[in-house]
Amino acid sequence: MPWREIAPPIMQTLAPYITFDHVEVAYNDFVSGLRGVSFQIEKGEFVFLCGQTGSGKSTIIKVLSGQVKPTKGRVMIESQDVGALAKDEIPFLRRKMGIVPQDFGLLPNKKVWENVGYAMRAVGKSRTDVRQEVPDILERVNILHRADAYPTELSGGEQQRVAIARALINDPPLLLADEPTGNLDPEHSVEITDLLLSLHARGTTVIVATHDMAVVERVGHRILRMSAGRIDNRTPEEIAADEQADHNGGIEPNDEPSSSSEPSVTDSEEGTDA
Amino acid sequence: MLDQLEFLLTEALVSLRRNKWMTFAAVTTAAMALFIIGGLTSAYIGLASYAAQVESKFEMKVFVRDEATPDQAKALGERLKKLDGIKAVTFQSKKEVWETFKKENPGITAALEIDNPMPDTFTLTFTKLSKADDIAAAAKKMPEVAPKDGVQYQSEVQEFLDQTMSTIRWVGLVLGGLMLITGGILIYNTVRLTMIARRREIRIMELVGATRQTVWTPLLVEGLVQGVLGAILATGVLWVAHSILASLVRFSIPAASMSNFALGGTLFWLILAGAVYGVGCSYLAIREPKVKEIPR
Repeated sequence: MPWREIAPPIMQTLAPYITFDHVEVAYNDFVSGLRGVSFQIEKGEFVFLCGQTGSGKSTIIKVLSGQVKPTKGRVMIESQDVGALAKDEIPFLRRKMGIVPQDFGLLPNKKVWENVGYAMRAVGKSRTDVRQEVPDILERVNILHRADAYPTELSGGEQQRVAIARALINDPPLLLADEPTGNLDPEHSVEITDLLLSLHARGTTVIVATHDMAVVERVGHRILRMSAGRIDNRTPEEIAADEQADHNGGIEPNDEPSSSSEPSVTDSEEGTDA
Repeated sequence: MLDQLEFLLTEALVSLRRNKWMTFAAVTTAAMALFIIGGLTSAYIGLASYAAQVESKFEMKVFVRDEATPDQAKALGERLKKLDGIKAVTFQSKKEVWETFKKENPGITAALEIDNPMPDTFTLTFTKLSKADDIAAAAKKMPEVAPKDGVQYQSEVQEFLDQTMSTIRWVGLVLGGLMLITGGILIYNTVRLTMIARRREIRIMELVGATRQTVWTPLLVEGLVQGVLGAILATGVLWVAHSILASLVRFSIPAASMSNFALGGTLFWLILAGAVYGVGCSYLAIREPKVKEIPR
């Protein structure tokens, strides 16, 4: 079994929604984003991609959204090979997903509703569509009351809501969020997490890349731990023990230095990752 | 459809307004390039048409040596007709030439009591003026042709036309080319600056699934507008320059006249050239890959 996470029994009869099959991403000879990552995600799942900065979480989001092509391996979304898509097909792939970037990506010179409306116009929707749909979308993320505000007049949590609202313009079945709480204080983090959970409750598959373990523990959904571009199969206890061993210079507590038969070599020592 | 078109055009206008000084620089440089190219092209066309007129009127005289028999003179005429670039060869006997000369210059010839000094003469006209030198050289080598001054023609006129047209060609090529490159770099830079200024919008468009056409069209329209504005400006300047030149010519040479400025034609061709040029430069700027991590 190349991956640790196992889908719930009720979902095993269905074809997986997303499949990563031994995916590698090499940025150059020395920098790797992913090193043979395999996992499956079923439709309607809520998955956290956890790990330290540079562990490969964001690369997974980029690969899924076609921003980066795998160097090796295969990435399938609903039996569509993402790596084999032509440049002209990528925009249509992205219309099937909502992408929430780490930095919100809001246009400072446009109001909240214009930020969402602009994205809608960019995918070919008319002014009438914008007038009709924007209030509903803003209502879904509970930011309609700030529709006429500029992004600079909003709190971090509110800006993130607008970014999520913009990701919903195509009514996507999949939502990819890269560090959605990374720039927020704990209170706003809870707010955004609850919003993502409510979208998930409506049937949206949600994949969240985060290193905010407080959020992950609070939500308690499936976790894919990343380390140095790989899925980390260790249990949290093993990770804690390894970290402790690292802290002690590779010597386990109560071990004799001479009896330490397995040197503590972590994945991160094998190379630099992105 | 119209709605989408309006969105794309609005995006292009926003870009032009944001980079107005860069747009101004690009438009004026494109205008200068098109002015030089347009001006030199119309000068070249004008001169070429003048040269064609001159060609039809241009004549060369070939004199037969005194000792040549009528048969030899006839044979000479046949050989002259076969030379490359000859349109027509007409023959006048020495008697006919003398009579014509006396008619045209009665004041000179009335008092002269001399024998006919004129030789038998062939008059040559050309299909290609540029061949005149070769024809003259070939004719001089023919034994029936008078050894001294046997061939007469205004070679300096032909040389002047050839040199002027060649100079215009080179000046147009070098100056116009340089200006085109400069204007192209400016349009390229303007579009690149726009891409930097609008990187947030472009990124959002790409994230939500906008097609490449949606992202590219406003940038191409921007280049198109710059090229077309440059062409309109160039046509205006050409028109003014032509009017000034025409009045200068009228003032200094009252008998001479310059052809009228073809405003419609010039505007059409320069706008077409400017549009292709502007879109081409924008396309090059857009095609340049963004600096990003590219996995191998």
